Amino acid sequence: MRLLPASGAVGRAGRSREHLRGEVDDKRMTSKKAMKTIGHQRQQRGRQATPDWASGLRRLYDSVVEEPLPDSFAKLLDDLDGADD
Amino acid sequence: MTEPTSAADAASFKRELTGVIPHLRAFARGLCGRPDLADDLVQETLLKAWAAQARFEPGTSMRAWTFVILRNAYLTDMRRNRFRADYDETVAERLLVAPAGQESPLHLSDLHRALLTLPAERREALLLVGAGGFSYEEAAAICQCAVGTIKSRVGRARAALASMIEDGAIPRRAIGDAVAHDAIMKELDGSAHSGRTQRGGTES
Repeated sequence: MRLLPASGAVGRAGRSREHLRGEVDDKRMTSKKAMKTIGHQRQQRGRQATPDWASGLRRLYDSVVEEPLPDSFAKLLDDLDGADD
Repeated sequence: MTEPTSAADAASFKRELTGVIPHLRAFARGLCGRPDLADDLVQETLLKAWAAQARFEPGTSMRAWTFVILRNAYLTDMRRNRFRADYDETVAERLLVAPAGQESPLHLSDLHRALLTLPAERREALLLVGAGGFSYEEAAAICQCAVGTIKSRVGRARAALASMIEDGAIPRRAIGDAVAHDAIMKELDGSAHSGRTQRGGTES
């Protein structure tokens, strides 16, 4: 999922300042840390649930893409093509 | 924008247009639920795309170009109340999202019904990115809005689906249709007032 890198940033928050520089906002280390941690835990719960059904969206789409195509579409384009000539 | 100058261009346009029909059907099905109405929408899209073929720039994405046309046609039809977000269980009902054996498997039909309860703008954003595989940038171009707006809509759509699925709160069919329709019409009314949607786009 595209959202996953953010959870990686949370994991890095406990490392040295070298790692934090340019990657993680220092404000995370302030007194707001507790609130943010709760927020991240909530978000991560949401993210962990995502892979179970996210592939379903793709399958929903692909299942239609893979359906046999009714002839009416090709016929419509052939008619339009013929009308142009 | 150049006129197709040769028979080769015209043939290539027709070939590319034919190639995206399965994708147009999938996007339309995701948007409006019912296969018959979705295919009507695809036919309408093909007619409009054909009429506008002089405006297609060869080398650009036919799928993205036709999705803009389909989306605008859908929104126009929605305003005329031609579509009700509705769902035909027959095809997807038997397909499972979760592997067999896992407890309380989620049916694709459940997922589709949950998707149909989302406001139209979030549903289309999630369909484009999460199902159609478009980048946020491409989806923003199709929906004629900012990339940040698409990211926000996709995020909210995912959160809403996740919460419905986790809570087992996916609406039953009859309720889902009413909820979805109300949500969509409310969203469209809101959009009309703020003038955010429908700026003509490719189809006009």
